[in-house]
Amino acid sequence: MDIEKANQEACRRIVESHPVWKDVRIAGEVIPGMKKNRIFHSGPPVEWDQMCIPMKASITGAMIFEGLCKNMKEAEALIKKGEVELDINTHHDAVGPMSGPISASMAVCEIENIAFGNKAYAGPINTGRKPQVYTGIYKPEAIEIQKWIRDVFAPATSKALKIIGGIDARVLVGKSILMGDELHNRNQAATALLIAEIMRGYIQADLPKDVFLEILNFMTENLDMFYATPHLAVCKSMLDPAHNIENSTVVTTMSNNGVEYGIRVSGLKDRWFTAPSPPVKGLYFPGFKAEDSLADLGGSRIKETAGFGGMCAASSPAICLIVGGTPKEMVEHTLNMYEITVGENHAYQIPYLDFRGIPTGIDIRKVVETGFTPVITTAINHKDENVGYIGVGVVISPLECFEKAIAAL
Amino acid sequence: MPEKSPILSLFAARIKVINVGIEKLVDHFKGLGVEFVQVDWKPPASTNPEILEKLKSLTK
Repeated sequence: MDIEKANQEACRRIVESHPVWKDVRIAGEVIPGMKKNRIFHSGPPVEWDQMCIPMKASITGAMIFEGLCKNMKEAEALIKKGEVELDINTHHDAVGPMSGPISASMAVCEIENIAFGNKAYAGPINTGRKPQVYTGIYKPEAIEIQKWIRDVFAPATSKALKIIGGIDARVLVGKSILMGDELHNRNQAATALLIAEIMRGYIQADLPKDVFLEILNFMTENLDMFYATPHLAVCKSMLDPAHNIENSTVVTTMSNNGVEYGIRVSGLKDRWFTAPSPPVKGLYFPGFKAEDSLADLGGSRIKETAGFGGMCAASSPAICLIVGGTPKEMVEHTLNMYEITVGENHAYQIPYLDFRGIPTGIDIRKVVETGFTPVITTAINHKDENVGYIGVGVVISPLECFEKAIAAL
Repeated sequence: MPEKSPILSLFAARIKVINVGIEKLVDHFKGLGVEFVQVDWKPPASTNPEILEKLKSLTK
């Protein structure tokens, strides 16, 4: 197959994908290769000594959650002795937000792409304003909320999802784009639609009233970001069928470990092409400034890889309120993204652009030719442990990793 | 009297513009009745000659 046909095929598989949120499972029971003494995290691959502090802190948090250690010093000793192994989510059908630490007994969202039969998993589940282990917080409160998710939220939500036969993410996401989400940092419509749909499942699950209210509060308090986690696996499930197509120059993964930004390309198998992690330009929460920030971090660039977030920023004028810039700039970003993609996904239409489908299938040739690199909307992480998010902004992906991939073809 | 430079005749004649690249530069002429042709062009993003050569071989 020549490059053009291979790219059309990759794009077809992304566009025809039909993701459904089927279940909430325990990672060790479903994620391939997961073991009690293994922690998966956001790629590209990186050795412990080279990791940024929030990544080390997130891994420490996951190990504390598993009862493997009590602090970062103990975590480091166990990892260096080889008693705890590390690997990246991408290689195990999984994806996580920010540092993306996933451990054996953590709850993960299970998405099935029913058009192709593959599954993808995402965790930790977004905890909104509560301390987030995936942003480098390993304080007791961050561990406790993950335990509540595992012990209370996960079994109840699993039951509710089964009662309603899962949630059709293709329909839900299509509607939420029409309602002004871009599905990376603005998920308000998606979360509201999700709550409306899953509620009849929770009600039929005969949950104790206090549990029902705790779950309802957990989701409604986090209207902005609750849907963010299942959507990670939605995107991964859409992209995995497009990976490993001979000669295709379509990007199937973008992920950032806080030190290096990495991409994988369909026709280049499982090789990573990396560049130093770029800075994030954005708006900071009160009391924080650019000097406090870590360079870009996160496995959630999988969303832009599938056409969401910064790629379809034109769908979300309100995203400017949290990432900065203007609605006009968001439209310009998306128009530029059409210059670097193979096609459009009409399951997800942008009203302001006369209902064009979201830009789909990033072609590394077009990126290097035009100089437009994928635009990412993202949270800004503090550079130290136990602080977490300090703002939200926009990142322009580095050209260098796309050039390296071109050189490897 | 010094002889008139031939270039001055340009300003007396009707101006026609070919603009290569940044479209913003023709904004001045719009609405002034000046004829212009816009040529979409920009320098390649990469500055690495090997990458550019490789890219050429990968593009139809």
